[in-house]
Amino acid sequence: MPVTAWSAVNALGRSTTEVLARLDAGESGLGPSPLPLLIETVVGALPGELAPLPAEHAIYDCRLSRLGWLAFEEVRPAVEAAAARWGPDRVAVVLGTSTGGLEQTEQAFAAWLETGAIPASYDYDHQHNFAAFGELLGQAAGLRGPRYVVSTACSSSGKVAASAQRLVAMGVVDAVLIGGIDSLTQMTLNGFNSLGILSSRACRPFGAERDGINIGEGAAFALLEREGDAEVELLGVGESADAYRMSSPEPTGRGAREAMERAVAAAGLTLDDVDHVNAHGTATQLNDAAESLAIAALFADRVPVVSTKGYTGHLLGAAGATELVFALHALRSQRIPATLGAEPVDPEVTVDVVTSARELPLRRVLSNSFAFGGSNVSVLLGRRS
Amino acid sequence: MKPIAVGGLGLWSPGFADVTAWREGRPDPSVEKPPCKLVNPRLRRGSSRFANMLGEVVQQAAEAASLDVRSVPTVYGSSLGEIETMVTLLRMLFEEEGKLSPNRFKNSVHNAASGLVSIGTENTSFSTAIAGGDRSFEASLLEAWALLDAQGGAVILAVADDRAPEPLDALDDHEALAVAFALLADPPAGAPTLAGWRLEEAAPPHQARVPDALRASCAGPGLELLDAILARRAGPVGISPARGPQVVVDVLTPVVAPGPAGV
Repeated sequence: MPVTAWSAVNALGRSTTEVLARLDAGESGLGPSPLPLLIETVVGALPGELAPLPAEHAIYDCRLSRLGWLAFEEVRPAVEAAAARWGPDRVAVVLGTSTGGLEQTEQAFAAWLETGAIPASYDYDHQHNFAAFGELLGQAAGLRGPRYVVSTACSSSGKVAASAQRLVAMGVVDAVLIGGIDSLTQMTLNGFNSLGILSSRACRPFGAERDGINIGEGAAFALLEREGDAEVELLGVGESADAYRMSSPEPTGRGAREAMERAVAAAGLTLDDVDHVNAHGTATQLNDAAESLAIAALFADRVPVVSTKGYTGHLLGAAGATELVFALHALRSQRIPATLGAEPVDPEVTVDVVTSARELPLRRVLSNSFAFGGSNVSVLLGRRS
Repeated sequence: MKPIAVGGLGLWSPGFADVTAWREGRPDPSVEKPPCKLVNPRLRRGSSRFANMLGEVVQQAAEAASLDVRSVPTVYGSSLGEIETMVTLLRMLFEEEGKLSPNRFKNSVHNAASGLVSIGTENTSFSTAIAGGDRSFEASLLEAWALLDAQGGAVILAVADDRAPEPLDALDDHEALAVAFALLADPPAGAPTLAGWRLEEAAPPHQARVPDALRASCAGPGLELLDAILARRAGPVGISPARGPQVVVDVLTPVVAPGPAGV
């Protein structure tokens, strides 16, 4: 399916152009946390202030929806054109999120503990509920097709690509706006700290000195249509389950390997057709070890591998969609960014980790996302000839 | 969009341990916690009632349809998800200086039940977790239907919400409810079939006698479908909440005697 529009906002910038320019320049967006924390870490926060939603959508206003709105405004003309082309009933919205509007609920809960009352401005259904932001987009763009969220933690907005493919293949819609969105929350940061996998410094994916993740925030969208002019297309998606532990990957990388194999098979291609892997690469000891084993089992050191977590932090439910945009950019620019923080690369990691930006012919790119609960997804994008 | 069959059902709500208890319409006050044998006892210590509700109805529907829980794909749906776990963590966040329970945190994700059940059953096949607000039932059914359309075979669809705890309890007035449907791509002889997914301005009148507190659950619209299947009542069924556009599906029921699973 052709990818006819896309956008991303995150710690690298407030527009897709800005985000991709800083990615190309090798600049990290990581920095101090804007949230009050008792722990030491760095985060990927969106730079600058976020404007409130337009007055007609004020009921949905919260940090999450403001982030999402910023990214949505860029693809909105294409989404409205798709609704005009296919009909408003024939365009779906399938988004990924891990936290929804939890940041707003944190504020309301703190106020309740202090005063005994939930603030009158707090509205769970429109601010926190995972479905709220998709409802807002549907209303704003006049869409009447199916709208829902895939929430499988950090694989959420990779799995939406599979849902979109199936909905179009089944014939219920002709276009799907997919995407991912998550904002920084105190609970997420403290939660990863409680698991002992939050780094106090900029993360170092696949590095010998890696010691954990950084959390980021952002939103990304991609419009998939049954037909259309586009440089890049969605070729296949592979999903798998580790069935091993809630928060650690199966150590041989079996689930990750199966996801990549299924994505390639779904596209009717072979492993030889893959030119590059945008890895999940969170910089935890266990993820990077298992993922590199999985990639090595399929590709040895033939394909260059990058993790972009050192630019944005780990965007959780928005990671998959954000890294789809990065993979799409690699295909369009024929260039792979460096994995910030990787050097010196862990000698146990035998795959070809890209440590300085590389220009080379790229036809197909796999993008991996793995999650709590052992939920894995790999998405294959291709450059159209 | 090919028709699909319903091969088995599952239900749990306080007072109702399963579909049989629901059909008999006599609530048992001792039914407060789902047994959920699919989550192994070590992991069940950290799992919420919500996750156990989902695991319980998955098991019921799989057994009713003679499907193997170690290999059947699963689609989970919920509006509120792990809201009880979230509130517990919020208390820790603000009352214990951010010191969160790692066990609670890793079980706070929307797909916790999916992970716990897949671990307990060693099921490495497809699983996902959907959220659609009060439209979670129709959204999850669509995801399951599309999966069957693409891959064939069988899928267990399980949709649930537990009650919201204080201070969010004022936001919803529903009772805890979980429903599950074992869905089959190739309808066996005699099985009720679903077809004709469509969007309409108004839904057919409700046929099921459902208390308001259960109808208000995101799984509530599933009761209308479950009731039609149990009663082998052919015709259009609305599976959306009261407000907004209505998704309607047709239930087709061949004339045969009900099987042991009530389907």
